This record gives sequence, structure tokens and C-alpha cells, in this order.
Amino acid sequence: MSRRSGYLIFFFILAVIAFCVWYGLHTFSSDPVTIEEYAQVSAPPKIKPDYSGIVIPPNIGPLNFVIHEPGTGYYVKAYSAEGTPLKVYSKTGRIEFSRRKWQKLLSVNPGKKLYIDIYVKSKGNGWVRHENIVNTIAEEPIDPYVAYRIINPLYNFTNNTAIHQYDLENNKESLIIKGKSFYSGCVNCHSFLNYDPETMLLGFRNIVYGMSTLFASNGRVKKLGIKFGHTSWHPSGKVAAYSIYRVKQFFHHARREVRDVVELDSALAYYLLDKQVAKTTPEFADKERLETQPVWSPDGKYLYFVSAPVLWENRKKLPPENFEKVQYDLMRISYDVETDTWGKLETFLSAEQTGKSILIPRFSPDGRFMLVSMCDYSCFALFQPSSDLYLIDMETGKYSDLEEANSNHSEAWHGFSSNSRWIVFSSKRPEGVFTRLYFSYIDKTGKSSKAFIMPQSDASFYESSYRIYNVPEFISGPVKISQKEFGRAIRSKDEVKVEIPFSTATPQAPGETLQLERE
Amino acid sequence: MAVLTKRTVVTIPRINILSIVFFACFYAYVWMVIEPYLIYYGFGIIVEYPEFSTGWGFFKGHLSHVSGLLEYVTGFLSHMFYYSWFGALTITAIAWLLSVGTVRLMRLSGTVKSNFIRYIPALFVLMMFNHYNNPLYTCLGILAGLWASILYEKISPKNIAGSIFIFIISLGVLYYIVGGGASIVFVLISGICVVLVEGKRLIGGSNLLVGTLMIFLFGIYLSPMSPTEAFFGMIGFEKSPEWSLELIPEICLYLFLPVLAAAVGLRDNLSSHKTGRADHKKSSSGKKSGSKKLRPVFQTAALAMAFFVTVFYSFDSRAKLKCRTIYLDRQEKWYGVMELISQLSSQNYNLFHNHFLNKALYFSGQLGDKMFFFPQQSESFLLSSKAGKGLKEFVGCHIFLRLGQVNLAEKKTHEIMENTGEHPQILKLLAQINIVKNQPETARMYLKALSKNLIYGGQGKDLLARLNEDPHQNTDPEVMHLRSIMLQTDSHFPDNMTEKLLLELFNDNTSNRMAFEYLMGHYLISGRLEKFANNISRLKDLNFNKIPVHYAEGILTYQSITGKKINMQGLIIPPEIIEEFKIFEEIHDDYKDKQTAAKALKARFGRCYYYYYTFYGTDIIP
Repeated sequence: MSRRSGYLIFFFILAVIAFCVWYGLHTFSSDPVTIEEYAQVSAPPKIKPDYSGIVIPPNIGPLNFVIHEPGTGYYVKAYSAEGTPLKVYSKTGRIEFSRRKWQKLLSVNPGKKLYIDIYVKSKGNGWVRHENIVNTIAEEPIDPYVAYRIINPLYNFTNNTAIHQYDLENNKESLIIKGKSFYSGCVNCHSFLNYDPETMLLGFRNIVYGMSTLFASNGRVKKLGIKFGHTSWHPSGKVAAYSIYRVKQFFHHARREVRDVVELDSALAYYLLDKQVAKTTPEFADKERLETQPVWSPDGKYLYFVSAPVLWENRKKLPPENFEKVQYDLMRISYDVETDTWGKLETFLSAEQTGKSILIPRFSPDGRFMLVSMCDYSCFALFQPSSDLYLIDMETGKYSDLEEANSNHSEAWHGFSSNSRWIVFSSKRPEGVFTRLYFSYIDKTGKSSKAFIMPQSDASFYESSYRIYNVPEFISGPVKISQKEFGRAIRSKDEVKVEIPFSTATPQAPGETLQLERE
Repeated sequence: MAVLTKRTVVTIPRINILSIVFFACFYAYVWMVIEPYLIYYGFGIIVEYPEFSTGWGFFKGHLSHVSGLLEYVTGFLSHMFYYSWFGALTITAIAWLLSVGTVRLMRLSGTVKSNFIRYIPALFVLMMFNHYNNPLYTCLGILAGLWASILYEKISPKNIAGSIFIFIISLGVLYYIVGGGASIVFVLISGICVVLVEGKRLIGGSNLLVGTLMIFLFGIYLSPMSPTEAFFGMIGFEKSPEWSLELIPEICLYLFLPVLAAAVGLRDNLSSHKTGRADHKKSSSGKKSGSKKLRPVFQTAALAMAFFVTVFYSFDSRAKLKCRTIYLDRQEKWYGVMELISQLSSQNYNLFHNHFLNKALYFSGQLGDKMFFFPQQSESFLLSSKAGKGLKEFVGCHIFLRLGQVNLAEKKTHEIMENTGEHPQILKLLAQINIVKNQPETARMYLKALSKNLIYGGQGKDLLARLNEDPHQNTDPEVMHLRSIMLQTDSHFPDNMTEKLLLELFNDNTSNRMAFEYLMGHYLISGRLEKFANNISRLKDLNFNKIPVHYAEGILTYQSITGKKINMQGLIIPPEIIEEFKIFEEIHDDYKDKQTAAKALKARFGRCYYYYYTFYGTDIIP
């Protein structure tokens, strides 16, 4: 091999790599077409995902979709009262809008309608125009990012848990932390303080580095010598309430949903950040009840949580007797953060009243509404096909089914945006197996709009992806803490020693540790 | 006056007959003996499943991380093992390129003859594939590292700055394409060559230092792991962290080329110090002429011996057998499975063979007649315990579906997918499970993923088209059969309780013949003759028109022990079976020593249930 041919090969390899990178970054632009004649069809076109009749945020990224109508050519025009219409031509039915043009169109039309005209060219019959899709562009924006956990359909093993964040304005996903980087560890229970991506708590566990909670603040991550379950920050940032539980999974041999979960024991505790001490109180650590899923009211004066009576004697049997009768009540207890004193425990809404198990309470930041999921029984709503979202009006105490947002499948893991107008939640629609993230608009009276799935750059993304999305949390910007920083904290032998002046929240069998065994 | 003479050196490529013969044999061996398609069938069970999917999205995903391109190529070539001839060609091509690279490496130092040494990397490659592992990732990485070193030697400028600059760029590109492992090979070879062969100690030393530091920093910067974890991870050892003898060829291949470069360089240095390079070459060529005639003979003999020794000592016949059993089972070649397993020695026969055998016997309608022709273990039916995790889960999910435990099959299949990845068999099975559960939308998701598979993509598309035409698949006989036996009554006990699971199925649907036969087989193996006897009356309901041989033997054993009669619903035990049983009892009674009796009776009665019961199951109370 001569020096010259060596150079040639070297530059050829460089050129191939450069081409690959360019090709990877490049998206094909579509050619405009002119349709002079077309037949009108009164039926709406079949599109996936279903982005019709919805209310969308003015800052959401392009709602790309695939037209599932037989045809050889597809032409889509999206327009509103102002701005330049978007035109996309496709031979396959994949409609992917230009991000820049889409954002421009939406940004000049808040509060107005967004029309999407769809034309399909069929073999021999020319163009057919379907009934157009009409969506509404809301005036209130959505928080720009949502953080969530991704797993595969999960049974006994977890190898691929990861916390991601999604840029809702640009349809881009990025990784916050993945368990596989730490000997297949499990990462879970992420919780942000007042939508701030810089301040968060995150649980992890694995065989090498054990089990603890990571506390991220101002770009640094510390390891706390304690593992939190479901966690909620006090709005002041001084306290985090969390659950500790012994939760078990079991499997149904002949039901549509194979999995089921039961808490054999649980209680609440809270962590005082400045004193580095974890505490509990008998009001939410009753050995005869299962207390879990805490959330603070936006003014910080109350801690809400759900609680159910223990209906079995044998706490080791799986599943325990009467597991199908376990229904959780919504409770609250007042708290003075300055003096660290608790008030009287109250039942805010009982399962007896609703006839259902009330789970995952979440406040709108304006304090007007509380969103919960309700299902026939259980502490784990996503494994219950009966699980639906309900909105509680905190002024009147009345609750109502979010009919427009709900489906025939499970809905859970919900949360409000920082302006209280948007909700994000996990839903198993349309097929009942894969959990995806959906958004819905909640107006000032508490009325919801039809939910829509989190948009993706790849229009057909959801048609062959079986990733499970859950525990979504809106955040005001991206989490900038690197995986490396999380990794350093996980590996670190230094951890914040947490004083735990209670043995465990609920008395239990000797030698047994109350901990998270499954989420 | 100085006379300027211009000399042109023309290199005529010589045909190396020995090399052609060696690689022809190598190809033939890999194709015909190793049979790469068997490695393909071991993916996800014996070796890690190499993820590969067609389509831009998958490729794009691999562009976004270090060594993604190497993983992509490895995935593609691994899937092509499905076609044995192509797989053999790939492996041979890698071995050949390593061999040619070795020659080039030696020539860099002026060593013209590489002789036998050039074949050593090929032999390491052969040893790795002989274990039915899939070392493509390692082999391709090392190959890239080697050729990048050769390329660097050719293009590096004379000056220090330029040389280091080109080195850093090359290393950066190589690191992105193939990751840390191959980059280390590159750094070591190129550094050693520059120091020892070219004598440029400053450049070579700088390259070694800068290269090692760069890889170390890349590892720290790009990975969230600790430096040590990152280092070992990037050289490819994170996937097999446990030490085993099978790692030796891999480690040897990693070390061989840098060590060779160092050895050749040092020899070159020492020779030139003593006599000067020209003299050295002269003397060595003089030596050659002495034994010129005999040398090819010795070389060929040595090479042939090395080849056969490598083959003989490293070939893992057990792994091959396991892969072939999986292949035959997957193809539903039941008689092939039985024939293969019947050839096994008792040392090689294990729970998995037992499982595959029973499955083959059932599907060929011979379980009740021939299962005691082979050693039996009661866990074999559902692989309920002891079994190795990967195979147990992979195989278990198939058998649970066939039995009608559809939910447990779904659970197991998802679990194996969590560990294995998007294996086409898993995707297909999940689609099938969801079709049976009448969840066509979910099935469609899995079939769409299957459609992107390199080998099974066509099958995925066909199944998808069928599903689109008839979403509920009400005309598919297999789907209808599975729906008919699918468990309807819910319960929630663990999936390792063989008897309970089979009983649950059979009680739920008394026409579930597979559940019945497995249950009866389980009772016979575990010696629970009372329970066996209680279920004999079900034979008629399941349309048995004759009593299977082992059932008859079980009935006779039970009656002989308990003195009770069994209602056989009009079915008759053939007189020859009764006669044989009587003879067995008579002979058996003649022996007082159990071991002597077992030996004496084995030839005639070794395949009968009562023999098994008497000599293997006596500790079990009927």
C-alpha cells in the first residue's frame, strides 16, 4: 500500500462518516403540489396518532401523524387565521411538519382554530378531500419539558429503566439517567421542587451500590442515606414527604391484565432537609392502615395522602386475602412547616363515598383542583383497567370524571402544568397494554378536552414502539445535571447520614426491612 | 559527475498456495462443522442476542453513541449467520484480513517472511467460534484497530506535530466507530511500531501516552461509570464479567498483535545494532537457502497440525448439540429432536434435552409410549426449577402458550425480552399471545417490530397482512385451538408449581390433552401413582382409543403395589404388556440385591415404567 493510497482510504472513510452524519441529521423536505380537482368525502380521515378535535398548547412541537387511508399520494395543509399555511406532500402517508414553520404558525394564533385539510390520491380516482380536522390552539402554553420514566412492559426483571426528559416544543427526547449505566440499576420516583429542573429527588437501587435517594440541587448531586418511595416536596423546599412500603407484584392466570400489585404494609415519613432527619407521626404510620402517595397542598398547609385499612391477618401471604377489596381513602393532615407540628387527621374523600379506590392525588398549582385516579381496588392504578382520572374541585369538594380525557383503558400517573391549565398522564389507550403519555387542557371551570398523545418527530413512532412511559412530571426547563454527575453520586461512598428516629413506620416482623420492593 | 539512477521496484503479487489451502479449509470447516446457522439459533439462549433491525431509526440510534457503528455491523453480520455459507464467509474473511494485516504489520518492520505467525490470529478466531459464542464484536474491533494502525503507518507525516495530529484524528474517528477496545489495539500497535521499528521514540512515545490518555479520558467523560468500570467496559469485557476459559482466545487475540509488533520491533532493533539491517537480511536469506526445499513441507505440516489441534481441543460439541436441538425444536422437527437426543451420552443429557424430548414426544403422539426410553426428571415438563435462567425462560414461554397458560406465557415472554432484547422469536410469540387474547392492536405492534427484522421481516409482514385482513383470526386453526384451551378461571399462584399449573389447566378444560398428558407424565415420573390412577378414567373423554404403553405399565405397577383395581372405562391393557410385567416381577423377586437386579433387568425392561419406578423411584410413596 503506497502512502498515496493510504491517504485516499483515510479520506474515503472520513467522507463516508461525514455522509452518515449528514444523512442522519437531514430530514427530507416535501415538494408542494397543486390539486385542481378533488372529490369531497364527508368522513374524517383515519390518522394515527389521533390528533383531531383536540386543544393544543401554542408552544407544542409538530403533531406529526400517519394517514391510514389507502392511497398513492397524500397532501396535507395546516392553517389558521394568521400566518403561512403548512403544506406537506407524502407518498406514504407519513406527515411530518417542519418544526420551525409549525412553531411560527402556532405562535401567531393562540386562542384560534387550527385546520388540517387532508387530501388522498387514490389509484385511478384522483384526489379525495376528507372532512378537515379542526383543533383549537389554547392561549396558555404548556411547560416546555416533561420528565418521565421509561421501561419495557415490566414483570419481574428490570434491566432497562431510565429517566428521560422531553422537549415538548421541539419533540426531542434526552436521557437524564439510565439504570443500565449502573449494573442494571433501577431508577425511579423522580420528584422536582416546584417544577424546577435544578432541584430534584431521585430514587435508585441496584446490587452494587445499594439503595438510596439522590438529591440534586444547583448542579450537584448528593446521596442520602435513605430510600424514599413516592415523594412530594413541600412548596418551601424545606421538607419532603415520602412513603415507605412493602409492595409486591403477583400475576393473574386468566385476566386481560396479567399483573397486579398489593401493598402488604406501608406508611408515610418526611425528611427535613436542613436538619437531615427523617420523621414520622402515628397519624400516618398506623399499623392497621396502608398510607401512601403523599402530596402537599400548594400553600404547604396540608399533606394529602391516600390510606386503606389492612384487610388481612397474614402479612406475608401473596396475594393476601381480600386484596380485591382494598380501597384507598383520600386523607389530609395539617402541618406547620415553621414549627414542624402536625394537626388533626381528616378523611377528605372516602372510598365509601366514591365506591372506588382513590389514588395519586395531585394538586393544580393554583390550588383550585386536585386530580386523582380512581379504580375498583388496589394501590396501583395502571394495572387496573377500571382506572380513570377524576377532578376534585377543592372549593366545593365535588369530584367528577374527566370524561373527555379518559378512555376505556387505565389512566394514572398524572400531573398539572405550572399554570394549572394542562395535565399530563399515562394512559394505556388505545390497545390496553402500552402506557403512553397524554395531554389534556383543563379550563378554569375544570372541564377537560380530548387527550392527545405526546407528539414525536417520527410520525409512526408509536406504531412499533412498546416502551412504557410513566410518572410524568412537568418541568420548566431541561435537567442539565449530567449522567456523569449522577454516576459520581451513586458510586460515592459519601452519603448524607440521615437520622431516622423511628425504627420503621409500621411495626413488622423481626429482621424484616420495610422498603421498596417494586414500583 | 554524479550519476542519478532511478530505480523502479515492481512488486508482483505472489500466489500463496498454502494460504489459499488454509483459508479454504478454514471456510469449509466453519461452514460444514461449526455451521454458523446454529450460532444464530443460539442467540438469546446460549449467547447474547445481537440487536439488529432494518430501517433508518435503528441505524440513527447507533450513530449517536460510541462504537454504535461497530455494534450495527456486528448485529447485521451476526444475523446473516442464519445463512451458513455467508456466516462462514464472514468469519473466514475476518480471519483472512487479520492474517493479511499481521503480514503487513511484520513487513512494516522489514520482516519479509511471516511464515506461520500470520495464521495465529485466524486460529484464535476459530477457537472462539468453536465455542458457539459470537465473538464478532471483538474480532471486528481488533481487525479495525489493526488496519487503522497499518493505515496510520502509511499516512503519518515525518514531523512530530503532523504525526501526532494525524494520530489524534485517527484515534478520535476510530474510537467513535469501534469504541475503546479496538482503539487500544490501535494505540499500542502504532505506538510500538513508531518507537521500535521506525526508531522515532519521541513520536511513538507521545502517541502511546496521548492515545492511552485520550481513551482513558473518553471513557471517563463519555461514560457515567467509574474509570475502572468504563475502561473494562469499553474493551468489551462488561458483557462477560465472569472469568471462564472461553475468554482465553479473546484475550490472546487482543494481546497478540501488540506483542507481535513489540517482538518484531525488538528483534529488528537488536539485529540492526549487531550487524546492521542489510547484513541481517543477507544472513537470514542465506539461512533460508539451506533448507529451502524442505521448508514448505515443514510449514504445511506444522500448520495442519496447529489447525487440527485447535479444532480438536477447542471444539465444544455440547454447545453445538444444544444449538442443534434448539434449531430442530424451533423447526418443529420432532423426529429430528428425538433422534439427536437418543444419540446423547448420559453425561451430555440434561434437563433441557429432557424438556425438548418430552415436547417432541408429545407432538409426535408418543409421550405416553416412549418417554421412559430416556432418563426423566419431573421438572422437565415446565422447567420449573434448577434450569439455567436464559434457556428456561426462553423455552418455558413457548410451552406455557402451547399448554394454554397464556397469561403466564405472556409474563415469561416479556421477562425474556427484558433480558434478551427484540429477538424475532419473542416478538412473534408476543404477537401470537395477543392474537390469542384477541388483542389485535397489541399484536400489530409486535408484528411491526418483527417486520423490521433482517431474517424474519418477511414473515412479520405476512402475519401483519393476515392480521389486517382478519383482526380476530377466527379462521386460523392454531389460534382457535389455543383459544379453546386458554385458561378461563383466574388464580394467582407462582409459575413454578408444575402439578398445580397442569391441574388448573385440565380442571378448567378437560379436553386439554397436552395438559393431561403432561400431568400424567409428571405423576409417573414423580411416582405419584395414586393421583395417576385417579385420572386414568379421563382417557376415554380425551378420545384415547388405546392405553399408552407407559400408562398401562403404570396401572400394572399401581395394582401390584396397592392391590386396587382401576376403572379403565372399557380400555384394555394389551396382554403382551401384562405378560412382560409378570416376567419382570418374577425375575425381580429372584434377586435380593437391588443393584444386581437393576443390572440384570435393564436390557429387557430398561425402557419400561415399572423398571424406572422400581429402581429410580422407590423412595417415592405411591
